[in-house]
Amino acid sequence: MEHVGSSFESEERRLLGIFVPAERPDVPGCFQEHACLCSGDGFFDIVVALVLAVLINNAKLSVLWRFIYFAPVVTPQVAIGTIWGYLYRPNNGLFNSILRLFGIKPIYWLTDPNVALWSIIITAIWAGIGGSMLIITAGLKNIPQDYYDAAKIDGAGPFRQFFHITVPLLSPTLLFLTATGFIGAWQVFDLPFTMGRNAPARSVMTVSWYVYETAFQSLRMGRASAGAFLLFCVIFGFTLFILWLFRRGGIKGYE
Amino acid sequence: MNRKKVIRIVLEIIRYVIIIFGAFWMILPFFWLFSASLMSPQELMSDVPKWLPEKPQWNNYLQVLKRIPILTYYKNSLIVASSVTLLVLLTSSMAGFAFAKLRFLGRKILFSFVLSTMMFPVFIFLIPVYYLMKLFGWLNSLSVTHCPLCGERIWNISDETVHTDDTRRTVGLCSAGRCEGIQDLHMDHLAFDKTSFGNACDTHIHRPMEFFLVAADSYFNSTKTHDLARRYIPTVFGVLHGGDATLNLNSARLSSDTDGRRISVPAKVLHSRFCAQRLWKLVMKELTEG
Repeated sequence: MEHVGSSFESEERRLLGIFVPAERPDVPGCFQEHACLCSGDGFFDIVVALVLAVLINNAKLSVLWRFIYFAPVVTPQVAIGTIWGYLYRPNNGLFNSILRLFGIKPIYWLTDPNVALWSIIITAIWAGIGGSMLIITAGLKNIPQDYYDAAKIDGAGPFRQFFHITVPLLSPTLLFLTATGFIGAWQVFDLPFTMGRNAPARSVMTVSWYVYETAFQSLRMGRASAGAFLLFCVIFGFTLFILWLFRRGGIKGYE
Repeated sequence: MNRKKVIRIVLEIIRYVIIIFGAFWMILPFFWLFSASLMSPQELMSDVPKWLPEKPQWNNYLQVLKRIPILTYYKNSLIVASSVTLLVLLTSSMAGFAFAKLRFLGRKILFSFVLSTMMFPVFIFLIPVYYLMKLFGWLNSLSVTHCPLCGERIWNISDETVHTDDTRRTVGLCSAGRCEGIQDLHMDHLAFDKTSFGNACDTHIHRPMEFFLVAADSYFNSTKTHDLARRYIPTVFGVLHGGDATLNLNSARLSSDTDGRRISVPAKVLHSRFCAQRLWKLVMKELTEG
């Protein structure tokens, strides 16, 4: 039965003249890649954005800095993927050229299966910092100055102020960012799709990419629908989990 | 005392060094893009990194205009963006008004239903919408790009609805006292508006702007038909191909690159991001109020 099905499939594909990649990615595989992408992006994005937002908060020319950091957010993701694809080129891409100047061996950013995912995470962080930073900045503005004044009188330095006032009082904002970031990341498509097409064995394939490719290139609508539904289940479960987290974090943050 | 001052100055210097270092990396790709667009292919492919072209090749831009119907792409983007913006504003402000101001039976259930559509990933709608468009006979036509589709419209309605509903409630919340994350976000909007769009913090001024940005980015509609003719491609692809064209100006493969094969890129992450923000705003409010 299995055999009949598969031969029919290949016949169908032959008739339609569709190219199907030999190594078809499996669903668990892309969920795994995707989870890694999500957590890497979600975590580092928030950490970097938090540090930068605190640094920029009362800096001179803060509007200018914010504008610069926000620029990638309003740039289409496809354009970002394309630019970074060129920057990551193995031989004469900008990054490898810079590395060569310092005498470091070139890194195969997008073609080394161990590195490709991280390259995309770096790009995603670059593209996402601005948005997270704005939200964190808004959160920072809501922390009354009194706390910092009191801490200064008690002799707390900037680092202690950061860890004992800023971070705890920002926890609702940070939780919010984690939640939205992770849910957004589960739907990510453009960056891996535009940058990862040359990655070996599809090491950066995401679920949405899988759904898209199965549906519109292999024309396997049923399988693609199943993938999409699975994705929905994961996001739904994740949302419930974050809701639960929110309930704890939200209330704890104000007690 | 003096030592403390020195430490403070050193810390300040470190702070600005970090900020400027970060800003440099943020700008670099944009700068490189512009600089590369003026380079010759030889300069672009050279092993020694070049920051600026020796002789700016303004001709590249002319070639893009000549070889690729990029003005058509822009026109398509404009059509899609403005029609989507208009339709969404019309439908969603009506829906938003109904949900926010009117009291009717089943309002809560209906509202939570609309809200829940925001949780679905775009890719769930991809296949059904494709079939719907097939059913309408709209595949391979401009209506696919024009018409903000059912699923999408629901998203946008709920988006706007939440926002309207939200503004109403936030006013109440503001007077209640210190803010939660929700207000953070509202503040975020204010901050965003102040820095970017003047004082356009009023919902109905900044929403079209946001939608316009999103719609201009939304190549999603046009791509459900991956064999779309070239003239239906919105600008995002234009930018893609434009970029490619500038870079591979000498490549004869240009025409084969711009055929329908590479056009199939769906998804609209930016939009889902906005929607997700709205959703969480509301969720947080429900939690913190209750």
